[in-house]
Amino acid sequence: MEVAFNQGADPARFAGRFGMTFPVGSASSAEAHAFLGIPAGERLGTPQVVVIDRSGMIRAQSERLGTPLLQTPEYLRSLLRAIFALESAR
Amino acid sequence: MIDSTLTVSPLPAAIFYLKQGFWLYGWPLLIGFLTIIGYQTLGRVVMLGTMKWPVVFCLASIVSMFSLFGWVTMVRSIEMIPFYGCGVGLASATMSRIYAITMPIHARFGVRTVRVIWRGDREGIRQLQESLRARAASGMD
Repeated sequence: MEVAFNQGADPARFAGRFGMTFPVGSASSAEAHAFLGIPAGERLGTPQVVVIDRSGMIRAQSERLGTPLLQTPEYLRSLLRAIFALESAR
Repeated sequence: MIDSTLTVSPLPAAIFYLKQGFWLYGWPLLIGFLTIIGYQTLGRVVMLGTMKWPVVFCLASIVSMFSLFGWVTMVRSIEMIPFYGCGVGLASATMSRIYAITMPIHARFGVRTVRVIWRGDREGIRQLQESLRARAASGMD
């Protein structure tokens, strides 16, 4: 899912414009900071990517100013494959 | 932060870092190198005074367009500056070692080929000077 945390975000319009088929929501900047575990007021690089497995454990998270590696589809696919492999091995 | 207990294939990350390295460091170096090669070649062609103006015009346009294309597509950051400088330096050093660039007709295939005569190539320089003298003596120029 995607969460917009910029001021005046319009998730429905954004999702429609880019034809997104997954849930798109919004949150305040303070909520986003709190979720990411980053002190309020610190600058964030966007997009922030968080990969959460089925048990709710965070398996990967962007650095505060962003992690370009986590924005590449090939790497994300590979990461998800590794998570699925770990889950099926349990 | 990426969970280190996960066995993630290293290939996608390796490809990503290779691409990143190319665009951050390799591309500025290449653009710096090719820009200087292009402009210096253009300068030498113009100084020859034997090229027709449409050729000079096209060559100058292509070189400047390529240079601008490089600048537009380059990631402009502090890190790329030394690499761009290295490209420019390498091209200038290379061009300073070139004595002449000739376009002799290939003996077998009958087409013009590009031949670079380096400053250290004494035999090549001698042959070039001889052919220029012969050309001048025959009144071709």
